[in-house]
Amino acid sequence: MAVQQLILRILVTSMLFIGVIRFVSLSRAFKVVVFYLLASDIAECLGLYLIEKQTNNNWVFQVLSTISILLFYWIFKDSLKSLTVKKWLNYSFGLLFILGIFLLTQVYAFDEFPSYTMVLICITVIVFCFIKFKEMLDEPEGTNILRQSQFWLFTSMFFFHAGTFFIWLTDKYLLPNFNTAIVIYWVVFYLNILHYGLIGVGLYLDNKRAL
Amino acid sequence: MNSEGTTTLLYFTLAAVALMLLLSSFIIYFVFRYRKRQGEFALEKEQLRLEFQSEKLRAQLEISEQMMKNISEEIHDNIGATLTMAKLQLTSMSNDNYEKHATQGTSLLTKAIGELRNLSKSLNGNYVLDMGLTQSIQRELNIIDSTGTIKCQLVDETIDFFIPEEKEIILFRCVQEALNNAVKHSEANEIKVSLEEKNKVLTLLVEDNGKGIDTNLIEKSIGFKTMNQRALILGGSFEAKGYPGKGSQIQFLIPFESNFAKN
Repeated sequence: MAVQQLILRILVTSMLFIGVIRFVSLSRAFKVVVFYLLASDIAECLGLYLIEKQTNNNWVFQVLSTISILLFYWIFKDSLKSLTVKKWLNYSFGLLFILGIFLLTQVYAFDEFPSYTMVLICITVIVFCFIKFKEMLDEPEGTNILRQSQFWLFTSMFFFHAGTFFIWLTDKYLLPNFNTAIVIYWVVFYLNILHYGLIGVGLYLDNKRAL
Repeated sequence: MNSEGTTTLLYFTLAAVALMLLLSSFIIYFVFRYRKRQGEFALEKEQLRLEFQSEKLRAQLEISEQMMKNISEEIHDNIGATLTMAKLQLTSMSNDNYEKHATQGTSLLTKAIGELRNLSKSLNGNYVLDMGLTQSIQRELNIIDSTGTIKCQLVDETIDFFIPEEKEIILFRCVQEALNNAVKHSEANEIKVSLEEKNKVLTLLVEDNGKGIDTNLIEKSIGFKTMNQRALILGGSFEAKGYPGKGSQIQFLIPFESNFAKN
């Protein structure tokens, strides 16, 4: 398992490295993505370190999920064009952030995984990904869709959050045993590889555009 | 692991695979749909470009026609009259007041030369492009103002406004049409043109204090339809309002690029 984690961390860290080097020339949405990569890399590394120390690491993900709300908000705010949608984005993410803070301070215990916050983030992100896709269809650009960085970014977010939501939905129906944990571990691993891989494609295209 | 656990895991794995297939199908469908829309959009854009080109030509032709009309009026009403007066003064020179007639004749000839100079300036290419939109509007207002029956005012509050020359001609033609309507039909004694910009949108307002446009006429009139079409070509919108006995308002909202950004 350690090897897979190492592969994932190398992937994220190298993307983060490229993002930092080319930060100035990246589009605004991808500048926020660099911060997202940094936050998730720190959180994952810290989480792994705490597990090594046999301490509970769920509080790290509580903090990460709350920060993610703000980062996703900025990504959508910089990418969406319609002013009405932006207004709804403000309301939705404002409410989500308040709920996130409420759950963090009032509901979760220190060692509890922030599953409700994750689910709320997933639903909101999926909805706004659909809106973004609709917006892209309504005003198609001249360049090939597969060469547009934002397409890969939102495909990545769409897959990852739909997958995470699915895992949350089915998790409680799975019997808690070692094999289940193994299967879920692999599903989450591949989902992460897909997520960061697609973000990497987006980052590469955004970087290429700047050149 | 017991058989119940194995079955549940199998279902979970199958559901996960099905979900991935579903999401992938959605993305593939989206890509195909996007490519189709891209083709349609390019076609629409090309049509709009052609429409824009023909409208630009039409606007230029109309401006030229208007110019010829102005020249003919100018020659007939001003220069012709001034030269006739000068001729009269010079003919009367044989009489006693030689100096007086010579001075008046010279001053009339100077006036005629000045008017001819103005006319030649107008003839020199497209004055909208030479003078810019604001100056061209001011010139139109000065012409109306000089009749003495209608008082004209231009309020320009733009700082960052910039549109390409070809669009400038179309926009100027819209203003000219609105001004002609006001002069011919409104029975107004005051006309005000204001230019304002906000959030990269130019608001061009032509107001008069006349009898007010008949709202039924707005939908039928060819002039209003043309103004609307031109505003759409410029990527903006057009609105005409009539207030019976109080006046009319014709408003154009035209998006533009930043002048600072352009520079």
